[in-house]
Amino acid sequence: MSEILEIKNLSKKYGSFTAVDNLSLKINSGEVFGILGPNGSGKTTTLGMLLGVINETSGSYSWFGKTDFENCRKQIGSILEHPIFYPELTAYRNLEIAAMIKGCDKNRIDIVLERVGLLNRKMSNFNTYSLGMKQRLALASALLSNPDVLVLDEPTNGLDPEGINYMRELILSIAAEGKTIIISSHLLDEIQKMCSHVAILKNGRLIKTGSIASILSDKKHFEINSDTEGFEAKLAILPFITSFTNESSYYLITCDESINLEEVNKKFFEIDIILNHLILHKESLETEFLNLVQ
Amino acid sequence: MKKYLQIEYMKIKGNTSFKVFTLLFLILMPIIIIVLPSYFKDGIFGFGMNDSYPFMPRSASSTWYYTTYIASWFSFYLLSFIIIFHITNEYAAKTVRQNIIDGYSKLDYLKSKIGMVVFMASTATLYVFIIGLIAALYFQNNQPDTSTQLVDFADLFGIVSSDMAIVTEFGGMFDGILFILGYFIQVLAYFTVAVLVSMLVRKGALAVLLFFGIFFINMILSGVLSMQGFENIIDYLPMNSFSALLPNFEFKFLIFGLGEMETLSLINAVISVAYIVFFIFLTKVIFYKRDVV
Repeated sequence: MSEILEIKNLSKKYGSFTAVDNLSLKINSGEVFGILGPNGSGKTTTLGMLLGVINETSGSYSWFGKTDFENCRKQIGSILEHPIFYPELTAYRNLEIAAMIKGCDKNRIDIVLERVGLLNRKMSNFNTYSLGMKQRLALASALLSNPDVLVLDEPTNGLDPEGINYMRELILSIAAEGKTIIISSHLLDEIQKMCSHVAILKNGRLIKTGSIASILSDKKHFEINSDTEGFEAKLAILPFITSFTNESSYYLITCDESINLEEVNKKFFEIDIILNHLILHKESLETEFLNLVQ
Repeated sequence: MKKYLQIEYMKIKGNTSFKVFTLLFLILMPIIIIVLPSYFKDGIFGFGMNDSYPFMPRSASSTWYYTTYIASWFSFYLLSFIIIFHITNEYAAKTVRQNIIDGYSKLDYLKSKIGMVVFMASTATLYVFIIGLIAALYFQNNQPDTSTQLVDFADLFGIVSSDMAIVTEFGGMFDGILFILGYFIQVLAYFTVAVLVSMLVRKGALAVLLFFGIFFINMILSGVLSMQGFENIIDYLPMNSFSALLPNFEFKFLIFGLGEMETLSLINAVISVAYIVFFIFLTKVIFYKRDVV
């Protein structure tokens, strides 16, 4: 798998405020890579730097192994924040401008409009479009040059459930063609459904990165309980438990290594604690995300 | 460059202020330069009002001067505003950023804007040249009879002085044609200032204020320099250099007609071109240094 993007110690400062702090990442070809983080975590700023609209304070990045972004620009299709077009122009004219800037064939306009389901509205002015249509038009614009990489900042933001589902299916169908897709989103469930890999940011810093599967599985959470006296105090000193919370009807423990249910039961049994409740707690990306950023 | 211009035209053609300001420029110019003086040249209702129309062409030189002088005001107030609103609207709608995301480099974007203003300045100059040529052709063959009326009028108010040139001969068609070059440089200079202020403040109303503010600052600076005894450099301040390309005339010339009109100063033209290059460079520095928001 070839490397599409490498970010090395990228930082962006606005005066004394650090929006992105020493970020390093690698994204490989064919990955659907999610960038997660709460508001103000530096997701859009990071994408802005990678797309050449925000000047980095320090650090560097390389697309396709080249540090000269200008030569790679046309291999990348992007949506940053929200769809931006000339409101008084039709969808077709807007894409015509984008096609001329990208230097691609105008015949592609109808192809991409058909792909996003807007061909029959191509002569309507952009300002008559609904938000969902605007998002789809933005995706059409990003696809114009048939790019190797798509960078989508909040592609489902503000859409209704039907719109989200449509956009998700569209993105997954594009990903199925082998294109590399980088998505930032607040909708963690969407990222979990669409992405193969994820990077979690907080206050501009990278907290965690890896495949979704690895992020969800390298820690295990168990729901446990026992009638043993001083049970909670003992939880605090057990070395294989990294943290625990009292969830009223049970304790939720996090283990720092991959251990299974039997091993947990055995470890407690060895110290004379009989568990009357033991369940593997299924984590969603959202739970893991919240654990990481809190 | 053709691609940049095509893209700019596609962006701007739907813009209402572009349509209105361009139409005003195209319509008002010939009205003031040809239609009104041709109407007034034989007086109104036989009352010999020909000397009361301010911009009455009485020589080829004055025709080219009046044409370019009037055109420069229209360019300043109408065409510069097209540029300011076109660029600041792009910032407001964030299409500057989208253009760069779509594939323009910052240099491409800058080239497209500079290309646009050079094209607009060239087209406006061509239009002004045609208007000037028509006016010169027309008034060469239809000169108002001014001499006696002018002297009578002047005597009446006792304002004739020996250094005033009263025009009696129209002269060669292309006498004073260099004013066209002066117009081109001046209009290009104002346009580059318009691009600079638009990219500097990014908001339409603020950019318009700053556009006028620069002239005001230039005026204050001239005053300060004059008080400090630096009169010799006042003429080389940017706005003074641009204005001097088509200098203002004294009011008396509106009555008596322009005689020995100063032709284009080449030193002034060179200084203005240097300022144009400097303003473009400054725009580039500002555009490159800042994030595109």
